[in-house]
Amino acid sequence: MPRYLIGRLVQFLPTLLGITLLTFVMIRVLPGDPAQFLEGDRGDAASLAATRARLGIDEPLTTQFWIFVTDLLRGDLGRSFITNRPVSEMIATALPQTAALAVSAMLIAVGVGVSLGVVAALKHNTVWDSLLRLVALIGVSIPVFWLGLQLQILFGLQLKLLPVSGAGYDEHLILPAVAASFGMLAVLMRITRSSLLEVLSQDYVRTAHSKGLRPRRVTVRHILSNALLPIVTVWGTGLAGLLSGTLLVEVIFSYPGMGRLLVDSISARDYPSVQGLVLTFALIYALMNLIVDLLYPLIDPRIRFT
Amino acid sequence: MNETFRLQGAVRPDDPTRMALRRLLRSAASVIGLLIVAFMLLTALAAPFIAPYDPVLGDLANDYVKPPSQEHLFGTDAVGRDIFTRILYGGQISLKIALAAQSIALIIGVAVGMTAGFFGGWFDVLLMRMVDVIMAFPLLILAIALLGVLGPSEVNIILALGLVNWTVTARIVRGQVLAAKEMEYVVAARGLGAGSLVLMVRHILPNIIAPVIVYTTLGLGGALLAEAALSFLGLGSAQQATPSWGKMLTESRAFIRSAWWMPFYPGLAILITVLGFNLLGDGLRDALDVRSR
Repeated sequence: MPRYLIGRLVQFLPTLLGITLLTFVMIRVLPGDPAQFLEGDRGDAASLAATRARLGIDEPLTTQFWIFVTDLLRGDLGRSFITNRPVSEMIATALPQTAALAVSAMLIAVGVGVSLGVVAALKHNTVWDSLLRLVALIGVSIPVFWLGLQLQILFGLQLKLLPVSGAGYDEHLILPAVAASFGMLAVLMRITRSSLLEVLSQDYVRTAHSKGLRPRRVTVRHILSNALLPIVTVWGTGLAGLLSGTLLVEVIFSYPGMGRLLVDSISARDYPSVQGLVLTFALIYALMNLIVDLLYPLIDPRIRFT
Repeated sequence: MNETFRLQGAVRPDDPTRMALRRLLRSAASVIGLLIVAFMLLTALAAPFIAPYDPVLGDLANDYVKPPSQEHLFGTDAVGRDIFTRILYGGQISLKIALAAQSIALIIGVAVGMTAGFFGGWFDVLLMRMVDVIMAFPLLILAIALLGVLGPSEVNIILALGLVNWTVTARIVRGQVLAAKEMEYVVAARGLGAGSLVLMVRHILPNIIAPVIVYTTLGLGGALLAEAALSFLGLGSAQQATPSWGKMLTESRAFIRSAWWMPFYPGLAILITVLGFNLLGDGLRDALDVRSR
């Protein structure tokens, strides 16, 4: 176990470096000069040079990258071109909002997705099973933002049950979280169903039943615990979809999180905030994947020895 | 004895493509998927001939924001244009972008995976580390950032999606090549003097293409969704007489209070088309006997 843990953590470092490098390169190769953009038509050669020096973009790229990384380690992501606020501060305000939305969506996806998957597997080859498979299929095919719009129209504008925009750790979260959860919910339902069906046909399940264990105990101890690994794997790969979904949902529901901030920053050509936000998104994603990897040996003891 | 031999000689072994096709058509879900995809492609291509109205010119005086009716099946938009007509034309844009982006991703993915797996060594390590880094980003966020850098336009959406979406294909192809490279037919071809390019393209590629076909078909649905999302975020082309489905959704956002049909139908078109690609992809997986990864 410690070796597996250390191995995973060591692998994480090059990933971090790669994320930083790719983000840096992507923003730097942009066509056009940020100084020119900031100054507009007013700038003459001297003031442009001064602005470039102020932004630190007159240095060689290697120096720039070094400065970028050392600043990053101190938590300094630069200042927004538009508001001149530190980017780290803007992210610190938006991050809890996005986290609340993403965590709510994930709870819905895991709770509902896994439960429905269990139902579909236990009712294998019945109408319920077919119906749930159809729901799963629609879930992976539906555009998140369109679902968000339809939920707004139905529950917000027609039935007037829930707010259609704004923030708050209350009923404001319900519609956005449901919309953002749908894709992962469908994927989890699908994998839960198929992995349960596989476990159900195993000999040890028949043995457990025939030695007279109560059905509930067999379901939890023998079936669910063995079906968990593929579910956790898919949960890990589904996180990217969940993050993207959150981003789109934030725009639809005018929810002040990181996704909306990213989209606003891009339309304002605010490169420091774009850079900071993309980096933060990638870090969150990498961290969540790391957590999934570290969960494996807890679920499947065999992994400890590999 | 003789009889049996003659009989066996008479039965020609089935062409694997045909066998796969027969298996595909045996499943109802795959047939539905195939029909949906074919229908969407055909109606988009035939838009100029079957569209009841002009996609660009509206009738502001008579048809301003009309709900669905006999004349306008899906209603009209804010300048009196027929939404059904615009969905037909929008399909051309959406499907074109999805197909083009997925083709770029396919070419890069196959090229990278093939060479990495075939040549191995430091070259393989380098390429696969690159894949790892790109995969460390959520795809849509990387595409958004790229478009922020490249600037919004239709061509740039194709580029951005193509450039971020090849990594899984590369991994699949590399894994297959690693296994295939040790197979007897490859060793034999090499012994007969086949060069690297011939080995890769003539001998290995046809034998490993099945999982790539499956993944690419499923990916078409994903590309369509991503295109719609990016257009929806305003990263598509700003000046467009006939917008993609995603762009139609953006334009309709201001009207969700008064005209539900404006956002409803373009999204439904996306949903049905993606559903078609997913059904077809799942069907192909079974027909080509590709085990899920």
